[in-house]
Formats: sequence, C-alpha cells, structure tokens
Amino acid sequence: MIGEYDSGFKRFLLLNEISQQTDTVVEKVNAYILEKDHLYLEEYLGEKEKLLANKERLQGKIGNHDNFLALLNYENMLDSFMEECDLAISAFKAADIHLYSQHFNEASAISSFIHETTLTLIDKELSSYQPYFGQMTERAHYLKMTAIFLFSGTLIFSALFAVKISGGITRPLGALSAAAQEISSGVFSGRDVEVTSKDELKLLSETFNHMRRSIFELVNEMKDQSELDKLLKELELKSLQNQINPHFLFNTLNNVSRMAYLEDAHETVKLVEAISALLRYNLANIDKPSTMREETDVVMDYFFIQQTRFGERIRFIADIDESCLDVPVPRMTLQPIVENAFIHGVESIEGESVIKLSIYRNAGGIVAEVMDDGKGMASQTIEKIMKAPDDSQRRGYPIKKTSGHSTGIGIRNVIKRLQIFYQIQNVAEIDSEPGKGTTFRILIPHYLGAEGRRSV
Amino acid sequence: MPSWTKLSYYAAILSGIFFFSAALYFADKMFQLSRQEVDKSVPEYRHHFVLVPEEVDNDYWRLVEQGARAAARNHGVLLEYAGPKQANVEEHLKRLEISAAASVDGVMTQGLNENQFTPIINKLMEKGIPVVTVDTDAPGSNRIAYIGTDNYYSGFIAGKALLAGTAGPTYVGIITGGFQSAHQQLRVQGFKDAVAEESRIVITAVEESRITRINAAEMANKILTEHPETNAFFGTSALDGIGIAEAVLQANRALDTYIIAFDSISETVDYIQRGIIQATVIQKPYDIGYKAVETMAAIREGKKVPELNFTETKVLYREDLHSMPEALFGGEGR
Repeated sequence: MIGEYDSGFKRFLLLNEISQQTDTVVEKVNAYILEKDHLYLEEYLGEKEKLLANKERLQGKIGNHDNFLALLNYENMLDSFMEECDLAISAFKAADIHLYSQHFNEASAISSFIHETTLTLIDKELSSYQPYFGQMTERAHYLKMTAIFLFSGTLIFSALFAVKISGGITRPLGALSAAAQEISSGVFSGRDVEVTSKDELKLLSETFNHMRRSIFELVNEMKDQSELDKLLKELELKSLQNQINPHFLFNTLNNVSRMAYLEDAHETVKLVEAISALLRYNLANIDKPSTMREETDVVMDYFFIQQTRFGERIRFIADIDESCLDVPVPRMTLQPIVENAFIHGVESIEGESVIKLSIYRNAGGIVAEVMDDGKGMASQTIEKIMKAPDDSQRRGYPIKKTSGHSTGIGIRNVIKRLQIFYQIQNVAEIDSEPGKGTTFRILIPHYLGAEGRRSV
Repeated sequence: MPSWTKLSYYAAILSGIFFFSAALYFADKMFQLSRQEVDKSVPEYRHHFVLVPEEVDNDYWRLVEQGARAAARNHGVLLEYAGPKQANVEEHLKRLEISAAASVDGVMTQGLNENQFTPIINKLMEKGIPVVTVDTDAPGSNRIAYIGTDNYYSGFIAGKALLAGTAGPTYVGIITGGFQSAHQQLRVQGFKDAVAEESRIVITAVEESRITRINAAEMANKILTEHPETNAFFGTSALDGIGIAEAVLQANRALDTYIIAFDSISETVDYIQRGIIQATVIQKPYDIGYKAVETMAAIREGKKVPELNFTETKVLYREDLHSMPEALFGGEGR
C-alpha cells in the first residue's frame, strides 16, 4: 500500500516533469530561432531525448484501464509535439519563415494541450486514488484491529504465564512460610514441605525440612538435659539438707575415731572411718562422673556399717571382676541399689539373709548385679519401678519421705540417670519373686569401654 | 474458591484464543484487501475515433453517443466522446485541435458554422485524419461525409405541419439555436421556404436561444411582447420548444398559440401530452451515432462511402406518442 502511494506520487512527478519538459523544449526551439545559436539546438536535442525517454516510461508506469484513452492521446500529442518542433527547426534551417512560425505556433499550441491533458491525467490519477484511499483507510482500520487483538491476546497469555510461573514460586514459599510459622509456634513435628519443581526452591525446602528435623531432635535432647538437671538439683537439695554442718560432723567423727583409737576400740575406729568415707563420697559433687571402683568401695563401706548393725544376720558376698572396675558410671548408682536391697529386701526378714554384689562381663557388656534373698517384689511393683520414671519425669518427680535411707536416692532416680548417662533405654533389669528375693542388674553397654560418654 | 480461580483461568485462556483468532481474522481481511489490483488491462481496438458533440451532457447527444457506442462495439472501435461541457464554439474547436494533435484515427463532429469549422476540418484531413460531420454538415470543407438529419428538410416538414395545423392569418415567431449554426440556419430556411407560398403566414421575428432553455423562454417572451399578434412558434433546437412553452404559459397564451418544437426530450414530450406543444420534429440521434461510426470504420477500411447520409426525420403529434418506440425519447431513458 505504501509502495502504491509512493509509485503514485512518482507518476505525478513523471507527468509533471513531462509537462515541464515540453515547456523547456518550446523555449529551446524559440531560443534557437531567435539567437540562431547552435548551442540551443544541442540543448533542444538533449531535452527532446529526455522527453522521449520519459514518454517511454509512461505506458508502463501509468497505463490502466481507466486512463488508457487519455494516455493514448497524451502520447500521440507528445509525438505530434516533437514532430512539429522538428519541422519548425528544419523549416528554420531552410529559412522558410512562414512555415517555421506556423510549425512553431502549432508546437506551442500542442504544448498547451499537453499541459491540459497532464492535468486531466493527474485528475484521473487522483480520482482513481479515491478507492485506493478508501482501501488504505480500511486497511489501516484492520491493521489497528489486528494490533489491538494481538496485543490483548498476548497480554492475556503473558498474564497467564506470569501467574503460572509466579504460582510455581509462591506456592512452595507459602508452604515454607506456613511451616516456619508452625515452627515459631513451637510445633516441630509437622509434615515435610513437598516441592515438585527442580530448582533452588527444592533445595530450600529440603534444607528447611532437614533443619526442622534437626531442631526437633535438638529440642528433644534439650528436654532430656533439663530433666537430668532437675533430677540432679533434687539430689543436691537432698544432700544440702543432710549437710547441715559437714565440718562439724567430720570433726566430731574424727574426735570419735581418735577417742576410739585411744581406747583401743579398733572396731569402732573402723566403723567411724567407714561412716566418714561414705559421708565424704556422698557429699562430693554429684555431677562428677565416678568409676565402678569408687562405687564398689562405697558399697563396701556401707556394707561394713550395716554389718555392725545387723551382725551375723546378713551376709555380704562380693564377687567382683577387677577388670570391670574402671568403667565410668554416674556417682551414687550402686549404693542406692544395695541400700534398697537392705531396706526392702532383707531388713524385715527374720533369720539369715544374703546380699550378693557381683560385677562381671558378659556378651552385652558389663553387668553389676545386686542379689538378695529377701522378701522380693510383686511383678506390678517391678513394672512400676521400671516404667514409672517416664511418667514421673513429666509430672515432676514426687519426693517421698523415705525412712532409713542413707541418701534418699530412689531406684527410679538411679535408672533415669543411667539412661541419660548411657543414652540407652535398657540399662537395668529386675528379677524378683515375692518371698524368694530380688536380683537387680545394671547393664553397662560394652562399646562404652573405659571412657565415659558424658559427665553426670 | 478454587472453582472460581479455575473458571477465570479457563475464561482467560478462551478470551486469549478469541483475541488471537480475531487478530487472524482482521489480518486476513487486511491481506485480502491488498490483493485487489488495479485493472491494467488495455482494451483491444482497431480504430480510435473521436466524437465531438456540441455539448457533452445533452440528452440528444447522449442518444447519439449511445448509437455510436453500439456501432463501436460492433466494429472494434475505441470511441472517445469528448467536447465542451456547455455549448461553446471555442472549446469545441480546441477539442478538434487536440484530436488533431493526438493523431486519432477519425473525427466525427458537427460543422456548426462554416467559417470557423472549415479550417480545422481541412487541417485534420491534411494530417490524414478523416472527418465526417454529424448532425450538422459543413459542405464547404473537405469532410468526407455527412451523417444526420437533412436539416433543410426537417425545417421544411415543420413548415408543412404548421400549414396543416393552422387556418387563417398566422403570425409565427421563430426561436433558433444560434444564428451561426449552419444546421439551425438550414432548418429556419426550410421552414421559411415551406410557408412562403401561403400569404396568410407571416414570420414576425427570428431570435436566438444559444441552446439554453432560459434564453429560449426570454426570447419567446420578447417576441410575444414586441409582436403580440404572434400566435405560432417554431423552435429549431431541442430546448427551444420548452422555453417557448414556458413563456406562452406565463403569458397565458397557451390556448391560441400553435407551437412546433424540435427533438423529443422528455419535457417536450410532456408538453405535447398536455397539449401545449402541438407537434415536434423528431430526428433519429441513435441512428446518427451508429451510422457515423459505421461510416468512419468503412472509410478507414478504404471503402467508398456516399457523401450525404440522411437519417430519418418526421413530425410527431400527440396521437403518435403511444406508438413511438422508446429509443426515440431522450431524457432519462424514456
């Protein structure tokens, strides 16, 4: 269309040019006749050539069905015009004044016709442009519509794409933030955030899930730790209660010991020293881990003291594998068990009783076994002891008044501490039958070897 | 509301598809538009003739053109119909000059007046362009042939019609198309000759309408004023009859005035219907056009043609109207 416009304009220019060239040709002829200068003749011939060339271009450029006739006349007029010009020139050369002025006038007349016909042709061109212009306008309208619809369509589709792509990013982000909110409100056990895409978001969510699991584990560990702390505090409180004046007690015991020595009461000296040792061990920092050897020594002291009380009625047998004594154990574990055997097992029994402490090695590790032939326990009682710690730890450990205990540390406390210390559940077992006695075993896992896991 | 999001999602897809197809539709329309090409075809023809009438947009001449075009189709002639928009001798002559410059194969024109038309007709003939005169002859020129009404005869039969249609002393006013026009002169002459033998017929005045209706009415009025005894009119060109009828009606003289018009354009026919114009001389313009082209084609093919080719002419009365073939009427195809 633009091309059509362009070529249309060129046609106008061509027509205009031809019209002007006829003028120039007339001028040159006139000039030649007036000046008789050969130069003008040359120029005339040159102009004529140009005019001819333009005339050749006419039919191809302008011709159409409508202006055919006008164009035909136009071309013929150009021919006549040039013919008249030539005739005028040759008549002039032949010095035929009458003839050359006649031909010259004819040429001028034809040139004016040419002007007129040029206008007619341009007029026709213009009116043939009318439909063209209409078409142009229509086309421009269609182009506009096409552009508008294309733009709208593209806009909608790109909006859809944008929503889809951003949805792919925001949905996992939403899930992540929901999970983060869950975590901030204290819930660590939620379901994993699932992301199907394979991009940074997947990495992010996987890391997030991993982090959540780690936090969950750490929190659980922290809870264990705080529980342990609570148990230890309890023990400390108890020991503080007993520590009314340890210096005074120790000094007094020393005095008693020396006095007994001076009085040659060697048994009394031994007893007082045992009491002193037991007291010292008991008063030492309960946080510090101990070894099986120390525990065994305390048990021996304790036993010695009890022996003075019960005399021949209770027999104490120690069967100890020396190689097992270096294993680390929490402080005050063995003694409370032995004490328990005394108090609940054999104290109320009339007649002879035996308490046996054996430490040995088996396939699973090291076993510390306290066996008595006292009155034993019902299976419910065993269950209560074994399971109870889990419940009591949640609700707060009930501190019972226990009569006759030297430390007041209960079996449950011992089991719990052992579990935390070794990080396993299965640390103790109790075999008992009412009337036949009780066997309490502490199971120290083998892989721990000599070095402990953590301080208690 | 997941169904809403889904719904709007589908709606968006649908409207997107709609927009794209609309865009395609308009693009297609656009390309179809651009496929329309200019008709570059060039008609095939053997001869290029020009018919130059006195006035281009004239009912009578349009009929001549129709006839000429029909003949042109039959003879493979490229016919150019060009002339003054309004009757004008200068322009008419210029048109002929242009035809000479355009080296056409033949010129058909009127020989409106001998003095002005003879030189150009002769010039065309000299250039080798054959000329035939139509409607009006220029017998003094070198034109090859004349095709048209015998103008003298047409005036003569009008005079005879007047004699037949009137009784007692009759004073006749003549309105003619132009004093310069040869054919108008011939018509007036023929009329005069026809009525000369009867002494009861007196011609009061001859006036010129210059082929416009207003002039014709003005001149008729002038005759009626200057010669109130006038009780008959003869109009020698197509519009004169109408002008006369208007002036007569205005002067309230319609009942006692006998009007003879020329040609059968629609208004003239209307006046004849109403009984205001009593008779009109009709020519066969279609035949003139047809015969002119035919003759010119024969000349180009080197055949001998007769010099004078008269077409039929006769007087038409009101009672002839119903039996008149439609082609005879001018105007809007009546």
